[in-house]
Amino acid sequence: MAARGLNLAQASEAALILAAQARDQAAFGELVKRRQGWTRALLRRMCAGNHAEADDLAQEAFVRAWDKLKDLETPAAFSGWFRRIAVTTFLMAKRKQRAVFEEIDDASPLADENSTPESAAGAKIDLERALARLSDAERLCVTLNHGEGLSHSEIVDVTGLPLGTVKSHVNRGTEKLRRLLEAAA
Amino acid sequence: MSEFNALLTRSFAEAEIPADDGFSVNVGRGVARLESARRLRGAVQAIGLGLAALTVAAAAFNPALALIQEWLGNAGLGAARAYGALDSSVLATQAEGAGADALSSLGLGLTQILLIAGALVGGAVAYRSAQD
Repeated sequence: MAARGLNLAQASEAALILAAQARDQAAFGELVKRRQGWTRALLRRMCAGNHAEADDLAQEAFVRAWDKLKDLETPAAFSGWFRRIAVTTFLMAKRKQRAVFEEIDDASPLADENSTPESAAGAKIDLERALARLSDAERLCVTLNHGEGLSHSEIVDVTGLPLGTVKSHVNRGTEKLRRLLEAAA
Repeated sequence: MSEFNALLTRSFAEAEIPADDGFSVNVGRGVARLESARRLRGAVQAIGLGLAALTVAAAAFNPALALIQEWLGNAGLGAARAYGALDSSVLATQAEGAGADALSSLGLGLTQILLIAGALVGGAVAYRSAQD
């Protein structure tokens, strides 16, 4: 049921969040419509292009957000708060699949020299395919760092990983992507 | 490296945003299921609490009744002892007077009871005769 007097299509995101906190499912539905693209794109990158898995995780993240919405202190904090839920949902799913994020595999090659070269047409790369070459942990940290613009310490805050591990994953992941493109050039 | 980082950031920004394609509807269904489960859980909890309260009340009733009886008994005993502590001569006089009053009251009461009973029997016989 929509909150009295709230025009969902024209309402601000803050108004929708406040209405959703008052258990207005229609307002939350409008919020999902506005945020689904960003959320699914983020999770599709993290899931190495597995769209079905990413969409399942995105749905789970939204339902979890509805359940915990009363914990959100201010509508202005929604973006960061929801990003954390999405990342936590991803980490939990991957840990069920026995993925390890805390360890850094120094023995792994920085790039697969024999792999099919990535397209580097123009000044744009096939990001999804390139990211698929990284480990889960590297992909997560590179996506949050370059895609979401989070600093290393902010990634620590969102993921709960140690700072040194985050720095290693970002640096190794970025370096792998760079070498993949050099090999393709 | 910084040039590559800029390219990477730009590529992230230009990445394709997926269309809704029924995704929001699916989330809405998930939320509705969650709410139904929450309401059901609330109802089950309320019923459970009610049953628990009834059980506690039933269990507490008999001991509470025994306690009240004991308390009333003690109070009556205390009153009797206080009464017995009063001057025995006064008591004796009062007891004698009270006994005489009780016998007198019983006599008056008995007369009234007999009169009422006679009236009722007479009325019943008259009513029976009229019916015949």
